[in-house]
Amino acid sequence: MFNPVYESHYPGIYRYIFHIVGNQEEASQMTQQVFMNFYGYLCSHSSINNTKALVFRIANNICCDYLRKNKRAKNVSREDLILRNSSGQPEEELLKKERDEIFRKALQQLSPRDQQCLLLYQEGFSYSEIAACMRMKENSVGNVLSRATEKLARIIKNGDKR
Amino acid sequence: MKCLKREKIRAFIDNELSPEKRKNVEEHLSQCSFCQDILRSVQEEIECVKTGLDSLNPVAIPQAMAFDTFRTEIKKRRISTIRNFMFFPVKVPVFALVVLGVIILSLSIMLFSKNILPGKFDSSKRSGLKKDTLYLLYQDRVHAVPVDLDLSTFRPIKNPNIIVISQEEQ
Repeated sequence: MFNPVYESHYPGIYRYIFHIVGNQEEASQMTQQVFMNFYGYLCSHSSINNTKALVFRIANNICCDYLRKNKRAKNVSREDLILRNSSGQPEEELLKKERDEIFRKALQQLSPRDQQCLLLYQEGFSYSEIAACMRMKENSVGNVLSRATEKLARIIKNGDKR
Repeated sequence: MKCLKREKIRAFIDNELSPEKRKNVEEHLSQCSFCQDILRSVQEEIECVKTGLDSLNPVAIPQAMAFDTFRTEIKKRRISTIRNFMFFPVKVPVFALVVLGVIILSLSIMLFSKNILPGKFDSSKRSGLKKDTLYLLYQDRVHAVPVDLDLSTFRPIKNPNIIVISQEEQ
C-alpha cells in the first residue's frame, strides 16, 4: 500500500512544498516528513478512501506549520537579487530568475489557503479533490481559485509597472 | 439573463459545470460581449499564473529515497523520539527493569506477610516470645505488656487495632 503511493506522489508533493517553501533542502526534508506521517497514519487506520487527498492534506498541514513558524522569513529584495546574479550569467537567465523571484514574492503575498488552492489546481486537481484536501466546500473552491488567480495576476501586473 | 460572475466563468473554463449550466453559460457568452471580455481576461490570468508556476518548478526533483532506506529512517526517528521523550538519552533495558520490579514486589510481599498481618501470625512459632508476658498487636507492631498491670482498671478498649495475640500461661 505504502510503496506505490510513495513512489507515485513523491514528485508532486515535493513540487507542491517547494513552491510554498522555495528552498530545495527544506522541501526535501518536509516531503520526507509528509511520508513519515502518512506511514504512521497507515499503521493506525485500516481503510483510507482517498489516498491522494490524504497525502496532500498531510502536506498542507506541514506547510501550514512551516508558514506559521516562518511568518517573518526574510524575503530577498529585488535589488539584492540583481546584484547577486550579476556575475557573468547570460542575460536571459538573469531575466528569468528575476521574473521567477517577482512571481514567488507575489505568491507569498497570498494567504496560505489561496496559495495551497492554486498549487493544488496546478497539480491537476479537480475542484472536488481540492475541497477534500483543504476541507472546504466544493462550491467555495471555485470562488477561492478565481479570487486568488485574479489577485495574483494583479500583484504581478502592478509589480511589473513599478 | 444577468451577466455571469467571474467564478462561474472560471468554472466554465475549468470544465467544472454541470451540462445544463454549461449550456446556459455558452448561450449567454454567445450574446454578451462584456462577458466575453471577462472570459478572455480570466483565461489570461489563468495562463499567467500557470506559466509563472511552471517557471518556478524546481530544476530537478531529487530522487525519492528507496523504500527500504525510508523504512529504516522511520525506525531511527521513532527510536530517537522515544529517547527524547524519556528523561535520559540512553536506551533502557526494559527486561532488566521488569525483573527488578518483580523481585522487589515479591520480597516486599514476603516481608509484609511474615509477621505483621494478624491473620498470618503462626502460633506454633512462638520461640521469640517470652513467658509470662502479655503481647498486644498495636498498629501493626507487637508490644509486650507487663502482666502485673491491672487490666480491670482500664476502660474497655474500642480501638480495633489492638488485638491480644498471645498470653502465656503463668
